[in-house]
Amino acid sequence: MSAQSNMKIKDLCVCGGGLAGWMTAAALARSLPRDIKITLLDTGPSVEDMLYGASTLPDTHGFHKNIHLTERDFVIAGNAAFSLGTEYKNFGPTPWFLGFDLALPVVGGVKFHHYMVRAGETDLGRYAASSYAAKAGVFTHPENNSRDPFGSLDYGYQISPTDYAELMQRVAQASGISIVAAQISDIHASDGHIQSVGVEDGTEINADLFIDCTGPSAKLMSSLGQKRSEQISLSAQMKTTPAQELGPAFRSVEATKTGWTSTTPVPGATIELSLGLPEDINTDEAHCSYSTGRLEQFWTGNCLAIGHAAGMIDPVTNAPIFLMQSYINKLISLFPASHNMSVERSEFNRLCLEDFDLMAMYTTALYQAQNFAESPFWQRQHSQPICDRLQRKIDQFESRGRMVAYDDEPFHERDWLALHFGLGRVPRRYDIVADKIAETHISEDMAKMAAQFQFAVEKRPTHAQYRNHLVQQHKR
Amino acid sequence: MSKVERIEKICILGGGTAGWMTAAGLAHKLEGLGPSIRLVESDQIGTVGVGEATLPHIRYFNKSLGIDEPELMRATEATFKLGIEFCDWGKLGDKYIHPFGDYGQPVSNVGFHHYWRKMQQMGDTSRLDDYSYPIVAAELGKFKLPSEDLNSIESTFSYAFQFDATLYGKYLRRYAERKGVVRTEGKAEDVTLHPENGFVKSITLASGEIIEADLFIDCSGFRGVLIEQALKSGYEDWSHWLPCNRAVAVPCEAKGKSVPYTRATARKAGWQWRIPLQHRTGNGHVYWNEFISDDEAAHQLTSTLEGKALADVNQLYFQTGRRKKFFNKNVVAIGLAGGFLEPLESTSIHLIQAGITTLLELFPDKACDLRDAEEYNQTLGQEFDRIRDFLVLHYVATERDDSEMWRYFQAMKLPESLQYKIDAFKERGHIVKYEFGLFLPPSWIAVMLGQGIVPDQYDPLVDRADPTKMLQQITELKNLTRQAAEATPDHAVFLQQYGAASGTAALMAT
Repeated sequence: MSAQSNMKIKDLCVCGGGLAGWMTAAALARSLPRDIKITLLDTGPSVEDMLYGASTLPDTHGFHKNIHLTERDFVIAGNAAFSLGTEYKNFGPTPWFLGFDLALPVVGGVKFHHYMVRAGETDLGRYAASSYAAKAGVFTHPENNSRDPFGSLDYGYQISPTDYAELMQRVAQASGISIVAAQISDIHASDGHIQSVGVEDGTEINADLFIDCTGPSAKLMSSLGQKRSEQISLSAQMKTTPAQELGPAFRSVEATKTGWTSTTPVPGATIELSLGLPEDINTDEAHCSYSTGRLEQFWTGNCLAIGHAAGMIDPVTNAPIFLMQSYINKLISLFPASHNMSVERSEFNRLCLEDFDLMAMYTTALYQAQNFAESPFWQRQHSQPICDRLQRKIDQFESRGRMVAYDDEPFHERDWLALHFGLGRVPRRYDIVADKIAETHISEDMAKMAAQFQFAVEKRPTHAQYRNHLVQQHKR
Repeated sequence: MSKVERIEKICILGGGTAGWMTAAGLAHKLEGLGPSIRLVESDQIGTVGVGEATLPHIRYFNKSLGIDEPELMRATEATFKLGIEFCDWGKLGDKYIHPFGDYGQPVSNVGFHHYWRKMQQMGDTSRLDDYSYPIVAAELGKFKLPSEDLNSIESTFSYAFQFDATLYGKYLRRYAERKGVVRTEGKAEDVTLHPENGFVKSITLASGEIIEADLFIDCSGFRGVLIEQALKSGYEDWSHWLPCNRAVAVPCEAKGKSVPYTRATARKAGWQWRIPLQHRTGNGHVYWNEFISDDEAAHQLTSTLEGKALADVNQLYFQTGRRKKFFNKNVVAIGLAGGFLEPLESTSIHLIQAGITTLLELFPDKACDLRDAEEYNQTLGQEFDRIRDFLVLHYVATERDDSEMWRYFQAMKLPESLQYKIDAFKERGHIVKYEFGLFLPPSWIAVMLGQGIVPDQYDPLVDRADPTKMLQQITELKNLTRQAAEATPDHAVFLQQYGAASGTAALMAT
């Protein structure tokens, strides 16, 4: 090991503007030791930010906590609202809700869904607080009280990617990082490492570690020879319609013949995002084209990619923002101890590639919906291969309602259950131990559970009332 | 789609710990659901007391069966276990305890051991062990149940038992028989397969009796009468990684103060265990016969006993590895019939338990759907593989080269998955963790640090904290840990208070 490779990392350069650049810069500035110099090369807002979607998973709580961003600052300054989950329409025989509910109970040593299978039920929403709250348009924070049916809920956020980027920009600016607003003119790489990044006015930015947040083009990573696997070419368009009152705390995704459209209420507006094959997308609105797929490695030499630069997954789930925040968390927890970053690099790659692939697996599973099997968009989706791990999940569910799980899956057992039932899959068998409890007995309990959720919803404020109240309270 | 026909008859071949744990587990869970359970065992076939030390998971097994803990402890001469003391592993003269608990607590998402490492580099001489309540309590010979107050240092651990596995088997036999399991004395002389599908149709006992069943559970030990001899399921041999292949075992009189931990001492051609029970001490020497004769291995064991030997030396033979298919056709192999890993980390009973739990989760019907078997094999296979890496770690994280066995390990090529973990820890104290597997990060830290793998660098995020304040805080934690451990009752006293003492014990000896 050379003397140099023992030295600590002193200089970081984050390249790229938009949500990925600002979020990465803000998070690093708030987490790393203070003597590390961070430069953001701000290349301006990015139209592809629309592809991050407008809602997040509950994991965003942990991300904000790590970077000391309070919910109050986030919701008020970021113009964010709350999210109970996503409603999927035309993904399977009937609409279904993918909520942020905690795990279902285990009754008599048997997972709850086996009792549903025995009773011939497939409507998971009947046992999900999120689904009741979404239907009623209400929201409150879950209380830390095991008797409150809402205690079984977690929640995410609804926020426009532009507002989110602006909030992160303010956080980064206040953290004292150096900001250079310019376009990249050239990248100097040798021996698989980035030496410097040049900008238009001739300035060269040197750093020990470079972070590529340049979006789908992954400018830095491509200069090191990293290539993307390209799966499906798609286009997306986003339309923001002003709204007087904040809509409900959930996002709705409706599949159509040509793709799908999601509707997400945020404070003051409704964001509509549509996705389809390039020929089917209306180019009058803000739009962009892209291919799903990812780089072979997310970190090579002294350069790593975050956000769309690393890989792209459809915002049909909350995967894109989840992945970006997860990469940033992993970079922070694996921040190189020295210039010899081999361990950090291989571990970052192992974990982040796995996150991406697990998210892609859920997305592929969702696109197995057969509602428009004849149309080109859906045929294109159905032509994607089903990996062995996904096949195992599907087979085991269909065979006996077994929920196969892999290490650290971002989507949990309950999310998979919602997907399987939602797509109309019914297990051939249920756990025989369920028969220790008589069907009549458990169906009473199940009805009681459903009634409790219904009752709990009736006393709650609407999402708009609740958020307004919080904002007023904080102003005082 | 064929109609689902439920299993009516289950036959367990073999008693012992695996057989009776399986019988008890199935009898309890399937009670009232129809299947009859028969267990065939022969008094002529000796059982291998698979490791008398256990892991905390066994408490959940016992609890799910509704077993009263003090009663079970009395019946099995059990003591409490807070961990394992490893002697002479990293190098001769070293020792450390691998506890059932964590070290300190993470600060701002950064593992405590990184802070400790920085303090050490700054000159602080505390051991990481000083921040672990179960280690300090074990060293002082103290024990009490974990506190229910999760903010208390005294809640930061779990516990298991050291017990007489033969007595545990007897206890579970009574339990299982009460729940309707029928025991048949006899030896399987012959196995008949279905001509069309190759399923096991029946076993024929020496008495001539033929026992038919829909599902057979092979608990016949190393031989694997059904899974291997009849079905040829194949064995994945791991002896190149874990070459110890024999053991000698002997109980002796207990001497000295009763301690709440097991001891594993590294030897020239293997290692030796010491497991303190209430009424005696279990001892064994696991070795590689390539480098030591059976007589010498037995002599090494008997010459180091702390008290009078209470039986003849029992000789055991094995081959580390696992069955390629644990679940094949209509046979599921549980216990040693499924695989063998030396009892260095007390995993044998845990693997039995994992086998039972997974079988119940995937309980088949008469057709024994191939998908049920495949899922079982994947699940148990992963469990075995991950434990294997952890066991191999003990042999390779060492400076020892004072015998041929240790030189063999120095030259050995590690499983890639293990090499990766060691490199990540050595380089920057990073633990490569998994969600599904037995050994959590604190266990890896315990063994790696305990055997001399010290991270070159700590997590740079530690540098965000003020070092003076940090030292103050961790010193406070160290003092609290010691105070709490000192205030804990002596292990022997607690056993009495808890109602776990059998009455035969010389527990109060000092």
